[in-house]
Amino acid sequence: MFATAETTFGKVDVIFNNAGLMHNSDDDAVNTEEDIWDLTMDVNVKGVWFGCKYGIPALRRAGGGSIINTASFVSLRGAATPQLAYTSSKGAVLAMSRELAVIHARENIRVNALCPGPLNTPLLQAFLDSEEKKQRRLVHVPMG
Amino acid sequence: MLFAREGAKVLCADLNFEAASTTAQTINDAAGEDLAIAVGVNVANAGVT
Repeated sequence: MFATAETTFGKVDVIFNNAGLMHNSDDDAVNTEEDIWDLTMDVNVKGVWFGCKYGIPALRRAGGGSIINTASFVSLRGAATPQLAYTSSKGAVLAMSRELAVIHARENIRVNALCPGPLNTPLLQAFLDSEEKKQRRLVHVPMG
Repeated sequence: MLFAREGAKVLCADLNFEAASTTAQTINDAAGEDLAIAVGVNVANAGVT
């Protein structure tokens, strides 16, 4: 992927590690299945790490750059609807981003994490598939 | 698409190659030049480049 980017465009300046998932079967500590936990961690945490593992050498070759990782407000607050694997994975993304920022600062590589609140997208609508879930999630939004 | 609007060249990487291709095509159509390309990739699998 990075080889393709470098071959096509010359160099890599920005990496946006945005891919992630929240599984419909993600639940609380008791009810979340191990395979759901592992899948969530694989994509949301290992995926961000892989993006950095294979992307940072490209940023070094470019003389520096920027990494943007998508975490979540649940990294800081937890969620009012049970989704423990997702919340844990996004906590890991935030912690990972902070360490990456410190470790690579002197290489002119900036690392930031985004912590968005719930956004009214088709993906989230599919996850919050009942009125009760929607209302429960809206407690996170001060203006409702 | 925001990156492209700021003048960046963009490699769209997604598990869903068709979706990534659509995004890249949308960018290129709007820009009137080839700013974006797409690749299919599984971020959790280092063997897929």
